[in-house]
Amino acid sequence: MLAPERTWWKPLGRMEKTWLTVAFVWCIFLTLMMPLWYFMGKQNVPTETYRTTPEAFGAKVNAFVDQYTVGSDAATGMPIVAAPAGSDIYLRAMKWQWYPVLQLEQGQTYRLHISSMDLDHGFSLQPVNINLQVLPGYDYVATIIPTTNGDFTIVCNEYCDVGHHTMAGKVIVVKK
Amino acid sequence: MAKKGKPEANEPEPKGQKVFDNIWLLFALSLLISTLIYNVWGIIDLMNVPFAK
Amino acid sequence: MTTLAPTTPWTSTAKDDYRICGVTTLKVDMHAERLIIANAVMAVVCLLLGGIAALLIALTRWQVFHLLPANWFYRLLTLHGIDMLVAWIVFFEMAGLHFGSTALLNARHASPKLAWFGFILMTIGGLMVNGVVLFDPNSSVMFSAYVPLKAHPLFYLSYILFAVGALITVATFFINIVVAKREGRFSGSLPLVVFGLMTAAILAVYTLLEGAAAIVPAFFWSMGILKNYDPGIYRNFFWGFGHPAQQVNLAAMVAIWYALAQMTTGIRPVNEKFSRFAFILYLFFINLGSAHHLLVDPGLSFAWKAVNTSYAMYLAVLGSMMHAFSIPAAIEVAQRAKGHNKGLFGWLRNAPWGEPGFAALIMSMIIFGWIGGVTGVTIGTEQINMLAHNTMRLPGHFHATVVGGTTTVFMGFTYYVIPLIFRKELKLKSWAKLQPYVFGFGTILVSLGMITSGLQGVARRHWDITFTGVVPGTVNITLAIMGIGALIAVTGGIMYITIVLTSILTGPRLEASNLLLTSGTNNPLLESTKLTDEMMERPQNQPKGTLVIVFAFLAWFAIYYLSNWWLLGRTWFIK
Repeated sequence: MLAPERTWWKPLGRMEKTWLTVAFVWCIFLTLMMPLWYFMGKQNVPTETYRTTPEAFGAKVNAFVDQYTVGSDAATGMPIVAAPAGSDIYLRAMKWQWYPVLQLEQGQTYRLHISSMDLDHGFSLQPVNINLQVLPGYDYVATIIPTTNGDFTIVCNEYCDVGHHTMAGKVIVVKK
Repeated sequence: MAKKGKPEANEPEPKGQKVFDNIWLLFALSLLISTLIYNVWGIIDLMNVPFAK
Repeated sequence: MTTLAPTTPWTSTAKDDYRICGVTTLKVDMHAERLIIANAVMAVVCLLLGGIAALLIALTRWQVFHLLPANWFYRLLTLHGIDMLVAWIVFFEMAGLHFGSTALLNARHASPKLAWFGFILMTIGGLMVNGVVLFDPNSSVMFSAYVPLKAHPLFYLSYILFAVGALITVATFFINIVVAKREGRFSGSLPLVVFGLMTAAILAVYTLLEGAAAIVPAFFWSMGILKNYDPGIYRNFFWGFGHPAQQVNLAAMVAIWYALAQMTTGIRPVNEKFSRFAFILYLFFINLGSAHHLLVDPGLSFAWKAVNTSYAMYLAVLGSMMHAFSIPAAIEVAQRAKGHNKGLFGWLRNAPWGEPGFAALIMSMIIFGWIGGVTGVTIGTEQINMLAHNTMRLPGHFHATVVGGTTTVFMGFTYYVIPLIFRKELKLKSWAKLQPYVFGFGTILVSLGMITSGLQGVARRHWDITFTGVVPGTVNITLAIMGIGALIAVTGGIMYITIVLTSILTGPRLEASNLLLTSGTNNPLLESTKLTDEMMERPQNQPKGTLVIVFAFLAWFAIYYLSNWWLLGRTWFIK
């Protein structure tokens, strides 16, 4: 709190040097982990993005639903849509629903397009616990391979007005 | 970073100390680095998002 | 060797309106004193508002009670975020800036009228935003107000007024320093605590300018004047405000750590160059961490995310790790020099645990470092963020940093501001001894309850996660831990507010006669000036115990961090 010596620029003590070196090495390790995992890991943050509009994206969703609907969800009446492996599949977020219900095959690759029709939403796939941000005007493409099967819920985890907590979607993954 | 020898009362302050004391330099660098690396680069990334085919 | 106070004499003109503190021998400018009091009072008012909201929302997320209906939950959550993250903490920091640029520099407040104008703007903005959120049904947009979620125009105006007021106050901090230098009030370098507060002030300028960049267009957009506001660009600017605002808190907190360490145990910095370099690492790189909020956003490249989220090779994290060594090391050296030399940790056992400022310092360092810092760096790792984004791991992290870290130590520091600046006797001293521990322990439970809930998929800002039927039953246990922690923390908060109000509203004005509140009549500030270079460098006074502690910390850090990569590796493939 008080005035320092006139010249306080002094060499570091042995303990400061030791800790500084170890801490710095740790920082380098932390830095390298991200590019390392980027090239070698199977779980990376998607980067593929396109500019879109709610109208344009909505049209793509509808076309996708029209082409690949295989049934309808008992609880919500929403179409269950199953596209072949390798396809572009579409999911739209809107207050307060995720549309449609996606049906995927375990172990297959899909290009999942997510966008919002109105506000920011949060794509939170449970219990897998993968979370992505969904913005209107941006078509966010995640290339995914479901490694487990069963029924999954998409919780919305970005506040989107009073009905936010009712916003829950569904993904079904069937075994091969 | 380490300097040799004990500091004398009559010697001028070490250059490093003068740099650490230069609040305007630190201020300018702080704002510049943050604005360029976080804001400018980030917005350039957003501006470069291509239109959907 | 440091002198107790710079001794350049004040000119006896009408400008110099000051008193001399009998305990610290520092000169306290009367304008500064009144400004500190005003800002501290508004800080506590906002803490009280935010704290009431905290209790009610915690009892809502604790499913067993589920107290509030949804609209009130979201409304009070918005209020809680703004009153705590912005209002309470920034008002307190402004008080700190007034103190640091005057009393610690032997200087007068060179711009009191400007400072009062800034204070008035902040007060209007702070009270107005509370009013708007409470009375307008459409302004529950959370502290982050993500466009295209739209609030009432007055909501954005409140933010703008508050930010402009804060920016003006920060300007007076720099004006004071420039004038003090010019009038020869101090010579040489700024004291370390002032250097730390200056770091906070510089970060605050960036923060507030970013806030303007985000909120001013939002204000015009809310009125229909601006037609389109890209949500990605809003988020870039908003988090350029929102996260650096927390780094301002970090820098101010660390400055207060050094101050309290000196006031309670009489430290001298182990190496000024080391500590100042750590602050400079904050200045250069810590604002990049704004990217933490955008790691799973569309449109941004991996390179941008990785470079920014790492604060440029984790150099800002290095700064924190340096302070994490520097402060306990200084305490250890000071304690050992006093004779508390037994074994590795005798210095710690004999530390003044019953002194409120020391209690707050230790709780703050432990919670901030071991929980806040470790979880922050981990979930701020680009890929790992996919597991954590918008889950309750987020508030779990930042309650450890902002509440366990910054708020706890600000509360502890208040107990000295009361006798030294308010010049009232601190009442309920036995409560003050316990309060940091109660508040800190409650906050730890809140944080752990939130983090463990988030690991199970519980979302943040969500009224009823059981609605979705997707979370395991164990979530009820972890949310209960959070709820119990909240009750304990709120108790700690009530203790703080009771101590503060009782002390400042009752009893006569009394010049402080003792620095320590509960643990003796010695003056650690004076003792710190007696620590010679030779004593600091003596082999038996070296901080061996601290080195063990920081290595243990690093081991814990590594375990937590690496186990998260393991968790990530078990999820679906995605890129």
